[in-house]
Amino acid sequence: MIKLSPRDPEYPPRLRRLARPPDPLWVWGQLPDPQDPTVGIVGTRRLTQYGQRIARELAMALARAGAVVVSGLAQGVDSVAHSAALEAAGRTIAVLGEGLAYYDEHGAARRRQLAMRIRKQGALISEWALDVRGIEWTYPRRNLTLAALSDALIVVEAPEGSGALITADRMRRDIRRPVFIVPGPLGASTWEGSNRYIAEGKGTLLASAQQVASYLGLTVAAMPRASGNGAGERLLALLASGPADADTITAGLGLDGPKATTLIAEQVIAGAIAPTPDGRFARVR
Amino acid sequence: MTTCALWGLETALVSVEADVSNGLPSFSIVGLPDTAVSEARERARAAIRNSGFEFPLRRIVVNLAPAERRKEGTGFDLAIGLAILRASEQLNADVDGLCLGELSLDGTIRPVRGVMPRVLRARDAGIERAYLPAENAPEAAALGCDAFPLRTLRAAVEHLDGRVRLAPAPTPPPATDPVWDVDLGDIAGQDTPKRALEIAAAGGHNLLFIGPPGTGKTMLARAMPSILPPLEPDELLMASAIHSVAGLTDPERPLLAARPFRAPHHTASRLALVGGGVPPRPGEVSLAHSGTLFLDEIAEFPAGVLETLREPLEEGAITISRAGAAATYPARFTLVAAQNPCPCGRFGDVEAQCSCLPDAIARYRSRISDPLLDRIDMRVAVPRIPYRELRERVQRESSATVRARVRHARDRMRARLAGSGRRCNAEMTKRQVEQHCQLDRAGEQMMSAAISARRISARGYHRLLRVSRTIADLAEGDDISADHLALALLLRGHT
Repeated sequence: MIKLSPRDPEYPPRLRRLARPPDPLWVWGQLPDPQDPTVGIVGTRRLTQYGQRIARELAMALARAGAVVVSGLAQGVDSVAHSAALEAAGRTIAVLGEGLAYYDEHGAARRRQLAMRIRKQGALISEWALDVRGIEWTYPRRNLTLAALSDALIVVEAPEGSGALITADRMRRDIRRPVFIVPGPLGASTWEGSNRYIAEGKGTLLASAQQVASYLGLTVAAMPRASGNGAGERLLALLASGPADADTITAGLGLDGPKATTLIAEQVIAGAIAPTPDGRFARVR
Repeated sequence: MTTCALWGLETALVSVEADVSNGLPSFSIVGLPDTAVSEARERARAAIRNSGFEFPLRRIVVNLAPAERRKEGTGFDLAIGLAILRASEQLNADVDGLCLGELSLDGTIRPVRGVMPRVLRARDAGIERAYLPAENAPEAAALGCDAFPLRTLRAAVEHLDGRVRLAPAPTPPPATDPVWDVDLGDIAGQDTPKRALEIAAAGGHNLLFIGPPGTGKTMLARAMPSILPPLEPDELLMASAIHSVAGLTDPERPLLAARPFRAPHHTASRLALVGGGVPPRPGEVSLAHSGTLFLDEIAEFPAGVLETLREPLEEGAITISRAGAAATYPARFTLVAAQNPCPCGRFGDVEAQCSCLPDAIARYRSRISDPLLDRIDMRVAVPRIPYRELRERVQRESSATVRARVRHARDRMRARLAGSGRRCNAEMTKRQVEQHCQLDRAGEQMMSAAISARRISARGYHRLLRVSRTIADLAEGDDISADHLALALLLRGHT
């Protein structure tokens, strides 16, 4: 853990544009080169499986293209974005709303492993003294820091009143950098906030990872698209909006039992889909 | 006087000798009696006196031979009482059969637990006759033994002396096919879960149903007994004997009519599940021997209780050790479990939105430990069925049809595994798996692709092959084809 002040050369230059840059800034791990573009990916903690897949795909594609993924290490979208960036051998920064030592001691055990991996391929940072506990007002301030650190911000899934929308507001008003919003199904409460944000014209509707990559001056490999007529492609299209059980897949593809079974098994072996812990099947790419 | 001791399911014939000699009046029982057996002194004394006999006021010693093993329970009372009467020449005939029963103070004879395994032991020793409490007589009669039902000590003596002849208890009528609570034909949709249930029934593989509340997980599991093959003769005796030891025998129908289906509630204690107590009694895992153990809401069971299932799942038996007593009960059951996908139950439900945080879901799922999950061969989603499908009046496959397929597959397994002491595919040893689970060429290709893509762990490999073998048996295939393996992979689910 090191302590940086805005006068230090290693201090992230993006934070210096804030009216009051965090001082000191605690850093645990290795901060990526400030020349590399950064993208914030935020969203709800209570995410749907569709949101999970999209967060994962975006983070992987952008990390692979060379962007640094910035998020807040909460459960839900944040964790998915961090781990997808790590999985793509990219770099990632977690901006915490509590002291680093406090997080290390009291943070959820489930994410301790993730935090350790982030320290190896990026950094955990916090503007709070080591032993500060996260409370209501430390997180909004953290959201500003997160926004300031990002060249562009993606909101994947946000209900009304979500902290992710506070981050988006900060990005829009204070940092004046673009906010991309992933649209979601109408009627799903976890997407209401983000859909309204698009409707009010506050953010850009995100239709592909390339849209963000272009803004950052990067190129992403084309996102997999299920368009072909083969049974494999139809299976992926069927699972695009979320996981499904074997019977639903069989009925959806209009195949007979053994054919559908063999297809599912083949796609599992090929790594295109994977069984979920609740006995269904989900797209992994 | 012959009687029989019982430790768990282990039995030993005990001969009861009485000696009445001159001396200060006393009455002692030797031969390692426990408290219940020692107290037989008081019961025997009162019962003899209250039956109109004379309790000899002399020096009485009763010996239970062999003397070096501890004797438990009240089943020796009748033999002790008769031995004293014989020694004091109030009973004139020798007793030529197995005597079991508890005496009450007024001389009536009360039923005891565990008659069946003791009668079986006596039969093995060539004793074809038994004197038993009237309530227990059908148990012995069902085993083909001449069982004389006794109500009082007086009736016992009169019968033995030939004054009043009792008729042996009639052999209970053979079990008729039971009426099943749930028929598979009653359940709409759920093709894959039904298929998994059929495979579990045929091969004895363990199965976990996951789905939102109200989708029919419990109903599916309750259809399990209706598709299981009937008990084989030796299984029938063992399963009925375990029920007898637990005191759960139905006097009208002492032999089980079908494979047991045990569904303990999630508040069940460790003792209730695996057995225990002094003397050790069989728990749910043993009562489910040769049948199904159904754990509804498995995530609600305390973790410590679930962990005790690992031994019976691996060994097919459970050893209960207590101070001074250890009993081994068979416990080879098929585990069928049901679980909600998350604490609120709505995760993945098309008609509702889940309100659980990801951490809470992960915590909920981790209540079933990995070692236990490893032993579950199939993990299948039970989704909500659209109303439209529920209303459809289509001809659905009935339990009888599925049961016929299951029986046929079991026959194939039995023929293949004959002489090895194993009955179904889930029980195959690793060596038997290597020997009997041949893949055809396409199956081989799929298997090597799955292994090189690391979709199968080393431990999962044999389990997968066992399930594939059952699927092939149900389809009457000699080799395991790619289709069979694909279905096993699909049902295996998350690894």
